[in-house]
Amino acid sequence: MNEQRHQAGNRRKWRRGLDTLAGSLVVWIIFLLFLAPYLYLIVWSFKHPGDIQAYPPRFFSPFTLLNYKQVFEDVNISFYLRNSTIVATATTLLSVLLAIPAAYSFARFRFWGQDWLAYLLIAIMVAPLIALVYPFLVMANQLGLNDSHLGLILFYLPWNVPFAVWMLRTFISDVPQELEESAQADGCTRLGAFGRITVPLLLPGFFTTGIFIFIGAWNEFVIAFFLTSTKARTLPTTIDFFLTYGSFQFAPMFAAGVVGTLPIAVCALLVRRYYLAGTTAGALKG
Amino acid sequence: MLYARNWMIACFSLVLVVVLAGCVPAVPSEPSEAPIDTSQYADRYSDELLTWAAGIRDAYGGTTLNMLGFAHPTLNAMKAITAEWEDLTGITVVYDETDLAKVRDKFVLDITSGANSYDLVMTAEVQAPEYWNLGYLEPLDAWLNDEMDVATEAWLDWDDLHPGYTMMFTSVQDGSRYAVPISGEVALLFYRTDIFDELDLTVPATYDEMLETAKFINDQGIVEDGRTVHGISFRGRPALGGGNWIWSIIVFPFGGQIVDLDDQVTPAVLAKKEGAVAAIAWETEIAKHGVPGIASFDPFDAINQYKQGFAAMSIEASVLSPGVLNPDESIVTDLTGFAPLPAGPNGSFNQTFAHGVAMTASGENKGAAYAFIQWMLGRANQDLLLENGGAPVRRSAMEDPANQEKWPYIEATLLGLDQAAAAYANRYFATPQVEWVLEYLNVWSVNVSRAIAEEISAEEAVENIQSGMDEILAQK
Amino acid sequence: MGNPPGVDDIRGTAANALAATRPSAGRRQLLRLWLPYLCLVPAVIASCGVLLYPTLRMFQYSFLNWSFGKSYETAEWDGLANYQWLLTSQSSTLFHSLRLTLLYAGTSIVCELVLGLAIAVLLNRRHVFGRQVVLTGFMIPTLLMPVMVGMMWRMYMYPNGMLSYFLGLVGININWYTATWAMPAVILIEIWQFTPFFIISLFAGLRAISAEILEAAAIDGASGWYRFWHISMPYLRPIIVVTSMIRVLWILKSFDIVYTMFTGGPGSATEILGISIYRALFLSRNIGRSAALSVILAALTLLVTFVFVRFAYRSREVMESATP
Repeated sequence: MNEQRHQAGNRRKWRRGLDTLAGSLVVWIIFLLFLAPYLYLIVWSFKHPGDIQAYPPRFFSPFTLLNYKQVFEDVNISFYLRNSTIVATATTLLSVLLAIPAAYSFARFRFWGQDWLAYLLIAIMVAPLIALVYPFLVMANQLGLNDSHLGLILFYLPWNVPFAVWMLRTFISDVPQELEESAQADGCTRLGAFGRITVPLLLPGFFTTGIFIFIGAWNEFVIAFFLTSTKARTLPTTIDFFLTYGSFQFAPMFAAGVVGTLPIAVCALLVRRYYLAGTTAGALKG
Repeated sequence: MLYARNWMIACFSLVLVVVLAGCVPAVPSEPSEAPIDTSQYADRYSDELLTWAAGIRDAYGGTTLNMLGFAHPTLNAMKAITAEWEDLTGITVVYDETDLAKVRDKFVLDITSGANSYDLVMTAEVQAPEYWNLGYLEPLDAWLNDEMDVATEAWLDWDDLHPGYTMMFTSVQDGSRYAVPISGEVALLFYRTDIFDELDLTVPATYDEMLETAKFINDQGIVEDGRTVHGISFRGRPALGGGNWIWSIIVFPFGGQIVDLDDQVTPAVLAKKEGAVAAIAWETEIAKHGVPGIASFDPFDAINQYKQGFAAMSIEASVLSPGVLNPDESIVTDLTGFAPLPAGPNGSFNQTFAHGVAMTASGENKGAAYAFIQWMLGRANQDLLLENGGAPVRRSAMEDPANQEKWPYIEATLLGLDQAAAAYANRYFATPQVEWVLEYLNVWSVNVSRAIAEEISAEEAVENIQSGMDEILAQK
Repeated sequence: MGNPPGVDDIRGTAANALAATRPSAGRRQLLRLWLPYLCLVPAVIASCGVLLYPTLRMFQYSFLNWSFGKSYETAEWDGLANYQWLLTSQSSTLFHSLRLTLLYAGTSIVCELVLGLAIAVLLNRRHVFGRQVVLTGFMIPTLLMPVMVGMMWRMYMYPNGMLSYFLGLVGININWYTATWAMPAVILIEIWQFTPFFIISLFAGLRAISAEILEAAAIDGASGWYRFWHISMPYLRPIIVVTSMIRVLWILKSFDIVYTMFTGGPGSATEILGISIYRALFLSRNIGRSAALSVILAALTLLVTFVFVRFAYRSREVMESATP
């Protein structure tokens, strides 16, 4: 009797172990399939131009930094890296700052037209970018912001502020209202209560929102392409350099691709907790 | 606590990125203010030129020129000697670079929105008529004819530039010249000498033979190192410089026509003339024996398939030949033969295409811009542009036996230029110089691409091209 | 939607009343009424201030006959001619593009959702080796710039590309550049890039479901499938709705990947609305027509978002009633 139960338990343990193994294996295979194109990009960016397109692929060919040398010396990609960093950082900070009051309002008050206004904030973004480029350019010229970091930042705001409002709203409503109320009862103003009690608790929320905005601004192509020429060009627009008339410069393009994506990947990995949190924040609380 | 630590790490990394980015120099190069020592250039340039450069320095030193260009071997060659130019004249040149298709979108938007950011612009032959008809470009005649400028004739030497190329930038309406060609091309037939030898094939002399050859090679099912060698590769993407290109060349040998050039201002559309259908049908047919996917190939896709050994033949631009001969990009460097296009039922014709540099009408530094064109595209720098993978535009360079020896495609190119001259003598001209030329190209490229993809028949394609072009013309 | 004004409009009124140093009652009343709106001002200025003018301009352009490249003075009022042309002309690609756009968006999102859900469920099993590593790694595709992604895949999908090689090894020979496979190719790229987005959010959603409920159901004898369908799914629904909405908003306007991969070709096999707008503006040089197309696309997006918002609010109610 006891023996039998022991045997059944053992079998179950085995089955569970096998189950875990099989499940993990499936997950890892899918995972590697998803990651492969990017890993390929990284590995291949260290190959000689002649080896990059070889067929069948040369997995073990000599290592070289030639492509990176070309990207940094001939194309001067660090200049574009700098522009991208300035624009993306400023866009992130400004969007979050501008979104806080509105997010507070949506989270803490109930007022007439609330749902419609929230909808309007999203609806304003429906026009396709390419159709807006011309009015944008005219506006930028009238404001004297053509080919400047400020111009780019200004035109990135309308896409990111509503997003930030949407995200921060849920983070603010996560912080119990009672905390603020008790601070107000102690003599704080509404603003003081918000600043002293809620904001410190919101830091993770700011980060989560910020990462998404940063990624968006870093990757944006259409506005950056038409609104900048020599002074404020950002990284995504440099891909064109490698579409030489008559030949596709894969080798430096791969290197540029790695240079353009690695900083943001590393940044995002460092704060992955917030990124992972962010993908559901907007949804979980409706 | 855990939150706070992660937060600190994130903050720190962000600050680090910003600081690192801030350390990078903002502008690539600054003009040197100190008087320069021209002796280092004495062996490359004549005294006359150095004096000229000193004069330019006095007149325009310290200005900055903005140039909008597209990624091109010649642009790279120009960049390579820009430091020298800045040394000589004290004029800084800042390049804004994109690709061939987008350069025009960007330039037109820049002008129409009133930004006027550029002094110089690189243009393809199909883009230039739109620019000059809209008044975006500065006519160069006054500058080219300036007798006071000693260096002009000897240095830029307009007459040495091949007329097949310069005519692309000379307006048929008023004869003004708008751009100086930096690279020129005709269509060539690239073929694999090893495969032709092995199968005992001869270079096709007519389009029918070419179709047979492509079919024959394709049917052999040759496999090299695991890759199948197809009959042919060419471009057919529904985009600028895509599907329209080959059709606009071979329509004439097949007996077709595109526009009636008797009226230069609003030329009538003759796309339905007999032969146009045959040309598209031939493209569709031969594409079946080619690398699958021709209907979505850009020039660099098409030539890349050839360079990587997937096709035994290709009809592509002669300017792509240096790439075929470059071992970094190509595995068929020693196995490629260059031949002029075969003959069609109506004769043996070709077309020329060119890329050039023009001055914008709105530029503020025209003097400096013109000096730059003179120097950069002058005779002395032609060899340098050639060395860097550009294609020659000067007769002197093309007829030089040393160059012909070194670059085997030049001989075929010269034959192609003769074919083009024959076409022009018959008033067969693929690029109508009207303001709406790109609208035409859009109609051609989409319909040819659709025919190659077998979405529509050749007859329907021609019908659509004719009606589409008529519709465009009716609105003007 | 929309609540009548004045009904429990500000929470914490009691706290306000307690504070001694407050403005007079009348001003406080006024402030209380307007504060929510005042707070919206910075965000509204930042978004509408920049976007409203261009959007209205786009709307206005759609009624003009105006050649791209010519000055605004040459534009003529043309009434509804652009819309009429788009709806009736034989050369118009509107319906073709609309069909392709819906196919592209629909197929991508459904595949992403199904795949994302499946992988999230797999990841949520009791024991998975290196779950954190996998989850972190899945972030990477969503971070890459679309332009770069397009270029990268363009090379991978060449006959001599990496993808073709590996597919060839398992006996699948597909030429992605042909008319049949071009659309699947761009959909595949979309799926590759954005399935992780679904995986991450759905996984987090699954984690949030308390183990007790599931265990209780298991003790009651509910099968795995039943537990998933009747307990997990109601929880996941709001996440699915909102994540899909964000994706729909992106994908309807998407342009970069298809442009870099195929420019709408071969033929017109991938001419989605974004490409049509590009073509009408830059290649046909018809600002009016491209603006009219943009208005149609904007209207479509608005409609879809509206449906989703209604849906999302309904799910919120479901959500609120489901959780104690």
